[in-house]
Amino acid sequence: MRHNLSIPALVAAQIAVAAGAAGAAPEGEFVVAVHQEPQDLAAQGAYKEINAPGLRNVLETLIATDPETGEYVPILATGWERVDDRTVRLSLREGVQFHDGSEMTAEAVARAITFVWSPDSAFTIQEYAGPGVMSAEATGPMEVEVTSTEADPMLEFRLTLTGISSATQIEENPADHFSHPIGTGPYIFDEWVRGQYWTANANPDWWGLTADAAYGETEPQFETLRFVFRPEGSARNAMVRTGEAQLATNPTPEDCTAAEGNDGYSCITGPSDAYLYGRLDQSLHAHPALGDMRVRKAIFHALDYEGIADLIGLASVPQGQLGTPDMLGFNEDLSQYEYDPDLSRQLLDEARADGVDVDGLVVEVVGRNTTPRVGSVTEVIGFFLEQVGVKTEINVQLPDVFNPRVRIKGYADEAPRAMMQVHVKQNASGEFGTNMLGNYACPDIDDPSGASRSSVHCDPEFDGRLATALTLSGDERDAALKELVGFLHERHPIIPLALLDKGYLIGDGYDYTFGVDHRFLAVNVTASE
Amino acid sequence: MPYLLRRFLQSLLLLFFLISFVFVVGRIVGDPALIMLGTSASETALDQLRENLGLNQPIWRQYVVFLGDLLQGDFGVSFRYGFSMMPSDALRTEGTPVLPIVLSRLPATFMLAGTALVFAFVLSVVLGCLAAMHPRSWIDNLVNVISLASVSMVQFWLGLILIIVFSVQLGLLPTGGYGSWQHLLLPALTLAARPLGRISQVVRSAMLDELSKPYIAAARAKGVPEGRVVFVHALKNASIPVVTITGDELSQLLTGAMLVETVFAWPGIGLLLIDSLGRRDLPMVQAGICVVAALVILVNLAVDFAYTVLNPRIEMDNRSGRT
Repeated sequence: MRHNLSIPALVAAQIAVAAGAAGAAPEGEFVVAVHQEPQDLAAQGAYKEINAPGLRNVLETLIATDPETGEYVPILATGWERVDDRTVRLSLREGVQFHDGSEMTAEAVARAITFVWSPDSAFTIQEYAGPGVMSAEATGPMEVEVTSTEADPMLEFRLTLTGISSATQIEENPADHFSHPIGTGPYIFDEWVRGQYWTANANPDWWGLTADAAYGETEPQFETLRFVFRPEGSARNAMVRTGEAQLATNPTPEDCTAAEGNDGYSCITGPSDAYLYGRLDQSLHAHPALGDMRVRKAIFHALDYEGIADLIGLASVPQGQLGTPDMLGFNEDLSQYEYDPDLSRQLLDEARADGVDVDGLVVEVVGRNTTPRVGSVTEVIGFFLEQVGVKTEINVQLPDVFNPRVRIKGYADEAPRAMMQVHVKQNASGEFGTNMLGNYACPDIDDPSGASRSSVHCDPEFDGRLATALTLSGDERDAALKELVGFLHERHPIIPLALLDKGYLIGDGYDYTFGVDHRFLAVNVTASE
Repeated sequence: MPYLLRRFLQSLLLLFFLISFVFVVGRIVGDPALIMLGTSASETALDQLRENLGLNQPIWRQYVVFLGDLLQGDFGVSFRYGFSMMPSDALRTEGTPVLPIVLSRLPATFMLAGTALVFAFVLSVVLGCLAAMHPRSWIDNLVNVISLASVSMVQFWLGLILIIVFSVQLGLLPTGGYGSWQHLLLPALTLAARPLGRISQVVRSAMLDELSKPYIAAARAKGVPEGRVVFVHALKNASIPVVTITGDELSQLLTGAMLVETVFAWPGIGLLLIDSLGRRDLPMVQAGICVVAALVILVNLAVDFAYTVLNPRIEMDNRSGRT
């Protein structure tokens, strides 16, 4: 197994020199076996790789995030500045054409941004919407201003999620927008055969071929990209082994182990922005014993986190928080909760002595079945808790059953409940603030953003500090979030169980570099030495 | 009442119950709006979807509307297929109608199930006849082993083994996909395994019975070639139980195709259903189940029809177990 943390190479993804890479014309086909078919190929879906793997090869953004430094770097924009706390002004790259031949003008970009973020479009990217409504306006031939109706320190981040697609298509043929993406990227969408694959061909007129600086290690090497939908992991594995595919997504740890003993392909892995957590219900309807700090601490210290990470396979132990050091707000002073069963027993004894109903507490360790190794992980958590004297009940449930139970509307029906919700969460924003709302803010059923409807924690003091932190930007935001991460670490509401790595099977003869967002960019695939 | 007409009316009734069952299950597994939109959806969004889909109406009214829509071929629209939109007024009209999508996947499933059935039927007849011609011989034992193994093997596992052997190790066939006869071979063989086992056992049993009858001895005494005795005279008379079991197996093939289609990425109705379940696409799942159920009922009806053609002397009204 190659542990290809490819951040340095992907930094290249944003700023490395492509100029001078006047190599041979692209040739051949590069096939990626992906685990699911996209719902659609609309520009808004470019915000998350899992929505439509590979779509970023067709659709580009104005700016992107350097996964190593967390800084914003230019793509279709050449520069930008803050006008005020609601507005960002961007200068656009000249000479860029959409794949339908239309020019990338400020008008076109403004139309594309407004289309993606308009509440009327009601796209799922709205889950990353800020406090206000985003729109854009051309303020010059190659200058655009992006504005939110409310102060928004994360406007630049939202632009890193926004795929820019042809305004001509949006105006003249909006229905095609969902199935025939037209962007500015190094590959031009070709066809989508439902249930089987979608393809794209190298763009001979890509601006990156002649620009002084573009993303990617090289210019596109392959004439065609093909993304084949193969839901069964073993079948994806077989595709790489037979050479039908050069890259396969989402291998299991066993696939990676097996790759070590086989010729012709290997497994490459690296950190991702996903983590596994155990949300310990501390809501108004929770079992009273879970309101006692000693009981919660006992549960946290009862778990062997190294063992859990080993069990999952492609995972590592978190540093006492739900994120990685590259994220804004990461608190480097924290460390993971220590596995100390003796301390757990002692804390529980103290609580018992004070009349807390520890013996009447039965913690339901419930996992969503989409979680890797969920059966084993929940069983192991149950085992560790039983070892220190906490009774447990183990459940693994389908999302249709699990999801309604983690909404505050469902809490009261089950009261008093003692639940540890085990599942995977992804944090694409590269900072701690976004996910804090959904996990720790006081639940508000009428919250129009929906962010806090699954929270398991409530502390008005925390809410006030979080609200303030979310209005800040840069170093101030980093410092405020860092403090909040430390504050939560002491409160013990949610257990950071593991940071999840992500891997790929890749055929011999290729090198692939990627960042924590795991966006597949064909320009980061090279022939290996 | 004629047998076939009675069977037809019974089938309609069965279909009605199945559709009703699908409707009820769709409501009792949870709030359909919440299932479709997920936990991050706001109450406003959920309310809007409930209103758009009529989920805030009394259950009996929803049921009447559901049946009325079905009679017009309207299984509703998908908000998950082709759109990544949150609920809005536009969705009711802009969602993708599900029935054409489900029907568009049927040819692939028919091709797979049909090929698997041909494989299974032809091999079963040959194996079953060979076993019956040489009872208690090594051939008979071998056929028994093959048929038992075929029935016992889990399709999912068998599919993966075939991929490893024929694609990875031998490099003879693609690992999956769609478009040529090479793509069809492995999934069809995988799907054929179970019916091969069951049909060959029935063929063997029926043929043993027929081959022991006096008319077979008479034919042999007259010098009729053994091949004609077995494959024409005896096989024709043994065909009724074989047709029955084949019809049953065809129904199984349609439903069993789901797993096989997933393993081999065969773009049939099974893969669509699995994909839709993952996306919580309730209208698509309902439409898929109803269409598959209707097909299974149709197949059973066709088997009953074949029965009457093969042996018109059978007094249908007196047959127990199939009426």
